[in-house]
Amino acid sequence: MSRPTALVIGATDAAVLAACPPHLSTVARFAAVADDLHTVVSQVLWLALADLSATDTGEFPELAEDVCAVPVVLAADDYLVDVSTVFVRRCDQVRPRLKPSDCLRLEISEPLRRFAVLTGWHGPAQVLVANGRAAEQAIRLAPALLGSSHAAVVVCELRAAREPDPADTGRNPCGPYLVVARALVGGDGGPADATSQDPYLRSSLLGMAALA
Amino acid sequence: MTDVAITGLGLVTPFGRGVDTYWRALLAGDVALAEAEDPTPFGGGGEPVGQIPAGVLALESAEPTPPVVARRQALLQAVIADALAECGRTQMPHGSWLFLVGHLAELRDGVPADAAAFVDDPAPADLVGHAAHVVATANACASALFGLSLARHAISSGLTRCAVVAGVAVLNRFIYTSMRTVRAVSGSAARPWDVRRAGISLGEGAGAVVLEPADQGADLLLAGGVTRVSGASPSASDEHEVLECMRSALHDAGEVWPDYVHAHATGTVQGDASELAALEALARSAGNGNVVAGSHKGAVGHLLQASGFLGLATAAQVLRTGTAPPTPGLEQPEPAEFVTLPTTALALPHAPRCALVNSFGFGGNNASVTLLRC
Repeated sequence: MSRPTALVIGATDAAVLAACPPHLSTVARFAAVADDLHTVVSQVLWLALADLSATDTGEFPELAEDVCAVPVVLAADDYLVDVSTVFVRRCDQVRPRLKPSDCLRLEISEPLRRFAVLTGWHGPAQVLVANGRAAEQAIRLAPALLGSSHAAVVVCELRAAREPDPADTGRNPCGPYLVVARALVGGDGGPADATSQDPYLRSSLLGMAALA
Repeated sequence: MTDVAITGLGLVTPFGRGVDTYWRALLAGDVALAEAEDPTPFGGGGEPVGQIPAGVLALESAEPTPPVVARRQALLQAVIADALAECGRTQMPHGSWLFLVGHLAELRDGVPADAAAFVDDPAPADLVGHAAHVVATANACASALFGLSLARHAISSGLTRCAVVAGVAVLNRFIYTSMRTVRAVSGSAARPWDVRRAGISLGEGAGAVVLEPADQGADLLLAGGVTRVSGASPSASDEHEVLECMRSALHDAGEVWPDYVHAHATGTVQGDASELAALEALARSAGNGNVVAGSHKGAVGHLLQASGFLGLATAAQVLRTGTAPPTPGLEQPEPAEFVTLPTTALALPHAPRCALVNSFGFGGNNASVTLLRC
């Protein structure tokens, strides 16, 4: 049987967070803002897991042992497009020369690795992309992870917080990001039919929350 | 929970098409790594690479499809078709899942046109059908095992009755540039675990695996697996994390002991040493005294996100034949007390029941899966 879990919303920009629809406030129990995407991801994931364990929500204390093993699925469509775009452009630049750090940024699991180092989380991990439907597919797959030996799974979506511009062939890869996470407990993880046509709710997780 | 069987395997490697072709060459210690006739398209600098020989597949395509995209599509098509054929199918069944693996598979919208060759990896519609769900796991060089583990959960939980995990690696200038920039590429053919090893050789190829609920006819089970993103460094392998990964995968399969370990072992100085130390620790702590381990990367190169398929195919063949293959390129092994690193084909002392496969990648991606012979 499921119990209510927090929808955690974070952003790299306060304006992005403020632009989230007000009707989400009843479920968005936590919000996090930092100008570094990795930091926002860590904050959002930590808040989502802390809510599961009723851990004190101070600044990154060690997570309770049981939530350290909760699976996390990162839905990273936009992030992958961005890091790929940056890398492809850097490859073609003569100056400055490509550095190893430019290449390592291609690995979109890096926000999860930093989160693990910061908090001691060591649960199963997955990083999914699905041509804009990764969060939706992650929610569909959540019951598979719940059905093994885990009581909860956290789905976290990295969503570029900008409207797509068809005329823009070079999206700003350093633009603001919205990071949304929700713990799915027990029977929460049904098919994600809750995707909304609301342009603010392109995120499957936000869509689920809006319809909750 | 439902046991999960491996019912189909498709493979294209620099040795050719098919698991048997790959296995025969690996057993013989063959090496397909050689200097490319024309390294220009992928930006190679004369280092040995594992290329798929001309004529293995109809890999050419009419313009304007970029050659890299055409090769990826043809390879993906071939391995999925072969894997499905092994279990008597011509198409994925209704409600099944396709797990593509790699950085950028199944992601096309929003990517600049000049990156199309890097990212365009559409699922072959005629094989997948309209009913299948498609998603990609993006966990660097461990992507294949991450995909297999997720697919296993999908089957064992009853979410679906058929899952295909597939991935492809084709030499291209972006990946080659990346690997050279991080100084991973060796000027000579890769020598996993050899004292003279100096880095990886890149290869190309593809693999596909069909997973279904186990029935009485199943001979191989995907019985355990662990997928973690961990480690203090985004680029260096972590001995402790590797050890925990292997232990967890064995625990997940029911506290079994591996008769064979197909290691990640790419030929890098740090990564190979770390994995070998972890294998030593595993054997020492279990008190079993010995682990037999091998790697294919000195034979065909490192297929990056698709490398796990070759690991799985090798482990499957070891369990089926009772013979561990050599590690091509390995002539002077690093000293090891508890780990046997065969340099020629080795008949195992008893019929093997369990094999472990490792894959590790940048960004802290660590995965191991456990196979059991029924």
